[in-house]
Amino acid sequence: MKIRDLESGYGSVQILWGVDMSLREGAITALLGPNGAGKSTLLRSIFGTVRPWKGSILYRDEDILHLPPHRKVDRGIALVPEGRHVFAGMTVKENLLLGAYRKRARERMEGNLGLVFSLFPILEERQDQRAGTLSGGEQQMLTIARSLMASPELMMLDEPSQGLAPKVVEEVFSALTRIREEGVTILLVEQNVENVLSIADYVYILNEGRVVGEGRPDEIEKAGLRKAYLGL
Amino acid sequence: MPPFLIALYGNLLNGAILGAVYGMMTMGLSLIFGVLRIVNVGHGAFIMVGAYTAFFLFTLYGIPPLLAVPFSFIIGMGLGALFFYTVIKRLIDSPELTTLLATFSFGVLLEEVAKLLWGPDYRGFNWEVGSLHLPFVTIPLEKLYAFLASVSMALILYIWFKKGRSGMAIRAIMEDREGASCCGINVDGMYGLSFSIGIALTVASGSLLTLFIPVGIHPYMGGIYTLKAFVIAVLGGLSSPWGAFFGGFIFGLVENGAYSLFGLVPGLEPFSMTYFAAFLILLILLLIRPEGLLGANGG
Ligand SMILES: Nc1ncnc2c1ncn2[C@@H]1O[C@H](COP(=O)(O)OP(=O)(O)O)[C@@H](O)[C@H]1O
Ligand SMILES: [Mg+2]
Repeated sequence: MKIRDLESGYGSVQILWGVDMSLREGAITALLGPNGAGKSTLLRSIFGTVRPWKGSILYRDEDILHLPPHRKVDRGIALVPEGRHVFAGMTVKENLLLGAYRKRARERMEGNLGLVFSLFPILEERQDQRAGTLSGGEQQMLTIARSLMASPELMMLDEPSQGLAPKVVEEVFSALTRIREEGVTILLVEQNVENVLSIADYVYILNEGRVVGEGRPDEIEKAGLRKAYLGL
Repeated sequence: MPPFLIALYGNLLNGAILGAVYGMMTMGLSLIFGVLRIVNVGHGAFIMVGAYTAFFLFTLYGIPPLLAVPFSFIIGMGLGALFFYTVIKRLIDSPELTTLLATFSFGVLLEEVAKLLWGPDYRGFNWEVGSLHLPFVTIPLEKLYAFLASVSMALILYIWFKKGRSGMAIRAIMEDREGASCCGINVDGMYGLSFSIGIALTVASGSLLTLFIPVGIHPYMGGIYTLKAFVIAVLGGLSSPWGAFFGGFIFGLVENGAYSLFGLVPGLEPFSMTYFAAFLILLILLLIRPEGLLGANGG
């Protein structure tokens, strides 16, 4: 995926000021940046829940800038949104079935269900339980699992480790590396810099709606970008 | 049995029958509120459209009101889609006042168009198909049919909602819009579908209501039904179509039961007092159980 000169915002308030970014297939690309930098806005603009203003998003030789979210899902793009957006009143199983809502995903439901349960065995145990009764970590796993049910080729995750205990964070991150092994391209937004630099293949740093740095994790360390923008 | 008890028994039975139609009349309002968080203040105008549909189909073509229901439903889908895609779609995330004004205006527009086309007169018709004789009470069959039609519509809606693919998608949107969007559910499209089905149910219920109002069809007939539907919706917990259906039952029972009771008081005009009773109940309910009888949870 190649993002060129992307501008976006809410109402008349501009948040993104020309973002350029490339995602390598099968890699984990991390997007770091301080609070309010526009990371969530960038993911929402790529996915289409926020309408981008201008620029282009080239994906498999097609400009998908203005496609609505469900058309993005049809092309194998998934978003795990910030916070835990599970369907609390439905069972874990129903949540997962809804993840396979599009036709393309329904055809691969059995296999994906197997993958999801092997990644998160706890969800198989709890499949008949209401999602609202799960712990925070389990809900985050369910959100990730639900988007895997859509058979994504590109998965974008918005702060999946937010508010989780360190042990659960580790579990989530090891699931991410396994998802990459399945050939899924990952764009990972995080505040949790330490963990991210250890699993990411490439890093972008966003500040005030602009890309202010990029490179492999070791290059980011060397260039001191981490200190400059992330205060660490 | 003493005459009062016989009257009460008859009224309660009729109340249950009319209550089911009230319930169906309110399901559309609750569906639209539950999914889109929009209060359709023009609700009664759509009931009026359904009543005229039944009236003209019967008087012009001899089509019985029960068969008018599918026609009304289709007209309702069309009107709902038209209203949604021209107006509502742009207003979904607007402040409440905006959508209140929009639905109010659309209701007024429908009423004025009806008056322009069909005049301000009161109209009505009689479709008589016999009666069911029970001990102490006789029930006109056409009302019983209206009852059965309402219950069936409610059941169909229930099954669609719980088992159907789009029904499940709509429940997902009610629970978490962003989550639904991430599942690839076309949220705008589902909003349009729920809105259209909500309006279609309302128009269809208007056709059934004609069986209870022999001469009550006129352009402004909807107002009182808007009020009643609001009471019923609150009884049922606002965003739950099933709650609304049961709220309708209760409202029908109370309205007709109160009619009997007030009839006992000399010098009271029982019919006008039933409105008083209905709104008194609403007030009491709002004070003791503001989340509705069945709770506010989508059911
Ligand atoms: N729904 C919204 N409406 C208006 N402004 C928003 C909305 N969401 C975020 N913003 C604003 O956009 C800016 C970037 O926010 P966000 O993309 O959430 O940053 P990050 O995810 O990097 O913390 C912030 O100034 C925030 O206040
Ligand atoms: Mg964010």
